[in-house]
Amino acid sequence: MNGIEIVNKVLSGDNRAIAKLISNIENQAPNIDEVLMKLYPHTGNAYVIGVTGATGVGKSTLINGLINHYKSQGLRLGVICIDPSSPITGGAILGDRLRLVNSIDERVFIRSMTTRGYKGGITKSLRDVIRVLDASGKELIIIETIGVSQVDVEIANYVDTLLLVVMPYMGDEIQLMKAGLLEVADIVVINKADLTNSEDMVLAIKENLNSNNGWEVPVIKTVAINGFGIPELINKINEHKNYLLTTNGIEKKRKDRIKEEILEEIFNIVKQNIVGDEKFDEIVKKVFEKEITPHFAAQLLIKKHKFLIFNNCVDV
Amino acid sequence: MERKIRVLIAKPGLNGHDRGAKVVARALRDAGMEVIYLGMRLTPDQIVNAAIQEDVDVIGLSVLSGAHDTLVPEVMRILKEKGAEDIKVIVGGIIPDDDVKKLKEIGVVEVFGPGTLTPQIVKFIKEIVAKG
Ligand SMILES: Nc1nc2c(ncn2[C@@H]2O[C@H](COP(=O)(O)OP(=O)(O)OP(=O)(O)O)[C@@H](O)[C@H]2O)c(=O)[nH]1
Ligand SMILES: [Mg+2]
Repeated sequence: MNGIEIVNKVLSGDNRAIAKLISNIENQAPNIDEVLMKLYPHTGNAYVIGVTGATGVGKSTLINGLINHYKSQGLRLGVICIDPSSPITGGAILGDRLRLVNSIDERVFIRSMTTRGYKGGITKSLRDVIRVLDASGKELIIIETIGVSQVDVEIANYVDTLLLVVMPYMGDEIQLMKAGLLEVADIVVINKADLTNSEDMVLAIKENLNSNNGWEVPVIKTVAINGFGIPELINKINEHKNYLLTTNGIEKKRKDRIKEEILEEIFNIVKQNIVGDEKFDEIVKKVFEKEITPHFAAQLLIKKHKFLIFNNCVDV
Repeated sequence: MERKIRVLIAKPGLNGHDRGAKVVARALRDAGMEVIYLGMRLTPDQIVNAAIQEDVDVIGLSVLSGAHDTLVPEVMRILKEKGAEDIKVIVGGIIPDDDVKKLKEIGVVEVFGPGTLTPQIVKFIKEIVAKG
């Protein structure tokens, strides 16, 4: 398939084309930039929800509940489930889909991905994959990631509403999340509320919450396996969405996101043009022997390669 | 970046356990593949839908005797109907020789009987994916 064909098929919502394009993004296929450029004007319509939390807290089961609800409203859905890949072999077993299999059909597009070595609980391709689903007409996109530590807050930069899922007995972990995930969450969900009295948990979390730009972060108890609390969760998601829409928060969020992405791209472009430098090892040696600082070395390399960087950029 | 091999492991039909399927899934993971583990009690429709959306190279079906002569052909038929017959299908389970022949006739690339060692399956998958 050529670029235009792929784009047209994706825009028409063709599952096979969407799936192939996602693979091409993950594998960094040669014509990918051109295809993404053509899709870009068709993006920005989907609302994106992130679901993060430690492994086994019930994220996929909750998402299953959300899918059933949104599907019954006739929404077109996309779901991306991200699991870590083995740092040694690069392999992974992706088991989230297993929990969703009975609620999905051709109308719900679900893709399981691995981090492919990327840090922060997400994958390098995530932004582009979200765009593909968005352009294909999905009105709502749900992303599942594993989030436990401070580095895993990255997902907050990709979504409009972020749910942090925890479960009772996680008192100590809550302490750890204090300066990380709890700060970026828009809604906190205490799942598996059937297992024990979770009132203490609610209090512990509320104590550690800061209000998020004027949005009062709600703490909700759910039992994902039987649907308890799901309607309330959905109400809160709607409230958060309305809050973002009425306060113009959504525009700010999305502009911040674009800024972040551009800066990242600049870094990547510069880096790509420099890593191949034949004198790199010599420069490393100089830094190692304290002749120059890393900061100075970086400037040296940028200066040396300025024409290469310049020439490798497209004309605009 | 290198292209990753993606495999869907599923057990169609209502009976049995998925121990064997899990062993294979782990072996493929340890060989560096991305394995979408779909579990058991699946319909052919669910399996094909997952295979297409996940864009896998290979579907591995773990079948118990009895399921292979109805469910596997149904998977093959739906793959074809959706224009996804380039996804390779392998089958694992106890299957009589005559039926193995029949499965291969409808496009199943290989059938692995009991006693197959996982490295054999890993090697086979790498080969068929490389061949394209
Ligand atoms: N008792 C109880 N069990 C639950 C609840 N929600 C999920 N579970 C169970 O918890 C286990 C893990 O659920 P998942 O939905 O796979 O959890 P997850 O957070 O997606 O797990 P990972 O993707 O592996 O990080 C499963 O056995 C679920 O059936 C709940 O509310 N109560
Ligand atoms: Mg999960």
